[in-house]
Amino acid sequence: MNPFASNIRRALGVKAGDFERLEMVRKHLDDHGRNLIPACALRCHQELIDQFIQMLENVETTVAHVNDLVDVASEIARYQIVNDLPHVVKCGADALIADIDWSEQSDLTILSGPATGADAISLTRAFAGASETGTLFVASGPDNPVTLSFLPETNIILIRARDIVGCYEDAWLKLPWGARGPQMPRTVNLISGPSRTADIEQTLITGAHGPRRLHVIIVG
Amino acid sequence: MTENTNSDKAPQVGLFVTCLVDLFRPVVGFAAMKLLQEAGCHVSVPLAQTCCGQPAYNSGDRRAAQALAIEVIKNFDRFDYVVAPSGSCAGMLKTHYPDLLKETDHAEQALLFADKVFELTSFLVDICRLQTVDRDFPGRITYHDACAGLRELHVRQQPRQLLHSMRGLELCEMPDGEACCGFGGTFCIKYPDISDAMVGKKCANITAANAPTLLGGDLGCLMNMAGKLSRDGSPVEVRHVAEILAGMADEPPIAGESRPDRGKQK
Amino acid sequence: MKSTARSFKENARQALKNQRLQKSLKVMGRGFVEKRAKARAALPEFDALCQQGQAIKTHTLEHLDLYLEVYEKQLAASGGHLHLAQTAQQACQQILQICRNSNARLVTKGKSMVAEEIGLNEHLEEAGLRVVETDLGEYIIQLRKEPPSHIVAPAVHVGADQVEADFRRVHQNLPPNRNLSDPAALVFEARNMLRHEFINADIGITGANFLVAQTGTSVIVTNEGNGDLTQSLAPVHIVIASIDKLVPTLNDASTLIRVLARSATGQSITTYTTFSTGPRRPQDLDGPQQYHVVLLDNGRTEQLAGDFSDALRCIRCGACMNHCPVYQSIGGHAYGWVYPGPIGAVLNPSFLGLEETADLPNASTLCGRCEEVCPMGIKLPDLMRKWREKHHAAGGPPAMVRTSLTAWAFVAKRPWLYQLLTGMMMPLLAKFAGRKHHFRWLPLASGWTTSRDLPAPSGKTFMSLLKKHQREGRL
Ligand code: SF4
Repeated sequence: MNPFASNIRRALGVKAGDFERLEMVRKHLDDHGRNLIPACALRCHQELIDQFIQMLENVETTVAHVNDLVDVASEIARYQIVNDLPHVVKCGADALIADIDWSEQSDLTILSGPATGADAISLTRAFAGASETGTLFVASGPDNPVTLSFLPETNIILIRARDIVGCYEDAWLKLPWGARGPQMPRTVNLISGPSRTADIEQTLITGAHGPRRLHVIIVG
Repeated sequence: MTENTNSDKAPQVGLFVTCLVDLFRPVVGFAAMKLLQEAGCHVSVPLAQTCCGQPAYNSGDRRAAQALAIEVIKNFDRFDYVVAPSGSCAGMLKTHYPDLLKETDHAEQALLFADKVFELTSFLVDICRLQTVDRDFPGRITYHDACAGLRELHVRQQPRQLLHSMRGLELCEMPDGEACCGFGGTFCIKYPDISDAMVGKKCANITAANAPTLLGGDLGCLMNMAGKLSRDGSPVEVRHVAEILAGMADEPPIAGESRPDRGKQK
Repeated sequence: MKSTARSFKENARQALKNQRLQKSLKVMGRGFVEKRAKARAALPEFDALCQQGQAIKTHTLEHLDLYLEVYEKQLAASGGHLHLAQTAQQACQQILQICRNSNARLVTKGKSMVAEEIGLNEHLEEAGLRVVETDLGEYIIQLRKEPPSHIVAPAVHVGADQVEADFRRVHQNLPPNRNLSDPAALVFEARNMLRHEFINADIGITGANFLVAQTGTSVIVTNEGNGDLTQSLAPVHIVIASIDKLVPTLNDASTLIRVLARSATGQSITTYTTFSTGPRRPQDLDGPQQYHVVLLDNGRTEQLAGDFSDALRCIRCGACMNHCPVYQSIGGHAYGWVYPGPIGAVLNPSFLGLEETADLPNASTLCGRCEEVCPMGIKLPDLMRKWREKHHAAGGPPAMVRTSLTAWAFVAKRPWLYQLLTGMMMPLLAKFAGRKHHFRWLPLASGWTTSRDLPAPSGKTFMSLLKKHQREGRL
C-alpha cells in the first residue's frame, strides 16, 4: 500500500476504492484519448514532409531527401566531404541501416556498437518523425544505442518518409503497443536539432554537450 | 443624490467616482458625467460613496474590504449600470467583489452586481455603442493601459477607438505599453525602490513615444507616472482620458504647473 | 539552500544598484517576452492547448492517488525502483543511500529545481561525494557558488566575462592564452571539461518535467544534451521528482510539451525531450543498469487540500517571471530562495513559512501579467493576495500599516466623516502645493517622494464641488 496515495486520499477527502473515480481513471488510461491536435499536423503527407524539413532547417539541421536506400551511402559520403569530416560512421544493429549498401564507398569505415568519446559520427534511425515541430523519435536499444545520439560531434539520422507523421500522438503509435500503451524502450529520444544552449547571455550557441551537427536523411 | 434626466427610457447609470478622483482630480468625475450624459444616460452620483475597498483587499484585510464592498453594493444596486472612470476600481467591483463576498450573505448579490459594472470608456463603446467623439484635440498623445483595466476588464481598444475619432489627435504607442507602471496601490509605498525602478522604465518608454501628452484611464497610475515625469523635469503632460474625450482639458495637467496658454481644446 | 527571503527589501535594493545585473536583466527581459509572443502567434491553437493542459493537470491532481498507484505499478514492471520521500531530508538521505550502495564517488547532475529545493548538492557533498552540475547554466553557478536566479535559465544574471574569469580560476590546465572571449568559446571549453565527468560518473541524477503514469516513464526536456549524457553514461540513473509531475498518458504529456517550451523559451519544442522507462534492457549495449525514482512530497499533499492547490499545476516554464516587472527589475536572487518570481511568491511561503517570506507575496503590484501568460492558468495574483490575507490574519503587517488601513476603512465606512475630513484637507493640500501642483516632499509620504513628485489635489473634492453645483442649480 502506497502511503503517499493514502495521504493524498485523505487530503482530497476521498476513499480508496471509490468506484466512480477508479472508472474515470481506468477510462482515461484505456481510451488512449487524444487532446487537441494542431491543424499543422493534419495536412497531407507531402505537406507534412515539407513542413518536417522546414522545421528542422529552422533549427540548424540539414536535411537530405533521397529516393531509395541505395542512395544513402553516397549521401553520407557527400555530407562528410562537404563538411570535411572523417570517413567513418558508427551505428547500431538497426535493420534498415543494416540494409544500406556501402560497397561503393570503399573508404568509408562502418563501426558498430555504442558510442565512446572517440566516435566522431553516428548514424541512427528514427522510428517516427513528427512534422509539427520537425521532431525525430529515436528508440534506444541494440538497434540504436542511446549514446550514439549524444556523444559524437555529428549525428546523422535516417528516417523513412512513410514514418513521418503529423503529430506526436501519431508518432507514439509507431512503437509496438501492448494492452495499455506502447511498450517503451529504455529511452525514447525526441530530437529536434543539434544540441544547443543559450545559457550565456542568452546567446544561442549550437553544439553544447551533445552533437554540434545534425543531418537528417529521409528515405523514400 | 443628484439626478440628470435625458429621457425616461435612458439607462440609469450610477457613477462611482472613485476616491482618487474625488480627492485629487474632480474634473475627471465631471468629465465622466458629461460623457455619459452625452451618450444618452441618466447619471446619478450617490453621495454616500467613498472607497471601493481595494487598499484593504490587496493588503489582506478581507474583513474591512468586505464591509466597504457591502456599502458600495447597497449604494449602487438600484442602477441599471455602475460606471467608474477607473479600470482598477471597476475591476474591483466587477471581478473581485464576487470572490470577496463569496462567504457572506451577499454572495449572490455580488454576482448580479458584477454584471452591471463597467469601466467608463468600455461602457461608452461596448454598451452605449458610442463610435466617435465629435471634438478636437490637436496633437500627439500616447496611452498607458493600466493593468487592471487591461487584464481584468480587457479595456484596450475602446479608449483608442474614441481617441482616434477625435479631430487632430494622433495616437503614438509607446514601447512595451502593456508593462505595469509600478503604482500598485500600497505597493509603491511599501516597496518604493522597486516601484521607482518600474516607473523609471515606464517613463523612458513614454518619452520614447515622443508625444507631449500621456493619457490613461486610471488616476492612481497616472499620478505615479506624472510624479516621476515631473521629478525628472519631463515636459510630458499627464491627463485622464476622460478629460480629453469630454473636452475638459483646461485644468493644469496632473502634477503640472498652471499655464495661461492652456485650454486650447474646443 | 539557505533562505534570504527575510531580507527581501535589502536584497532588492542591492539588486537595483547592481549595474551588471541590471544589464543582464535588460537583455533577458525583452528576449523571453518576444520569443514567447512569436511562438504563440505561430501556433493558432496555443491558447486552446493551454486550456487542455490545465484540464489535464487538474484531472490528474484530483485523481493523484490513483495515477500514483498506476505509475508505481508500471515503474516496477519496467524494472525501476521507487523511493517515497515525505520530506526534503528523506529525499536527500535516500539518494545518498543509493550512491553509497554503489560506492559512488562522482555524481553528475542534470538541471533539477526539485534538487535545489531539497538542497541535494550540499547534502551529497557533505557526505564526501563530488557533484558536478552539467547544464551549462547550472555549471556556471556551481563554480560561482551561487543559487540559480531563474528556473529555466539559472545563470541569466551572469555576464560572459564573469564566466571567463570563473573558468580561468577553476579549470586547471587551461592555457592563459586560450581565447575565451565569446560565448561560443566558453561553451566549447565547458563541453570539453564536462566530457570526462560524464564518462567517469558513477551516478547520474536528473529531474523530471513529467512522470507518465500509463507507462511508468519520466520525461526530461533539455537543449544541451547534458541530461541525456548524465542519465545514459552513468551506471545508475536517479530521477528526483515531486508528485505534482504526474500526468496520465503519453498523449497528455504530448499536449503539455506543446505549451512548455513555447512558454519558456519560445522554441516550438526543446532540442531534446527524453522519455525514460526503467533501466537498460537485457540486450541493450548502453544505458544505466539501475533506474531509481525518488518521489518527493515535501508539503505538496497538504497543499493539495488547501488554498494553493492550483499552484500544483505549475509546469515550471518560467513565463511568469519572464513577464514580471518586479522580477525584471530585481532578478531572481532577491527573492531569497529556490523559486523566484510570481510562482516563487506563491510557493515559497508554503515551504518556508510566512514569517520568513512575507515580503514575497506582498512585493507585487498584482498587475496580472503573470496570470495572463501562465500556460497553466494559475491565478498567481489571487494566490498572492491569499497569502496577504493569511499574513494579515496572523497579525503580520507592521502596526503602522495596519493602523492606517484600519483608520482609512473606519473613515471610508462613514461617508459623512469621510467627506468632512477630505473636504477640509484637500483644499489645504492644494493650497500648500501652490502653482506647482505637486509636492517634492510630504511627511508620511517619503516612500513616494524620494523619487517622484506627489501630485497635489486640484482643490475642492468632487463631492464638495458637486454639492456646490447642486446648490447653485448648475446640475
Ligand atoms: S506559474 Fe505558470 S508561468 Fe509560472 S512557471 Fe508555473 S506554469 Fe510557468
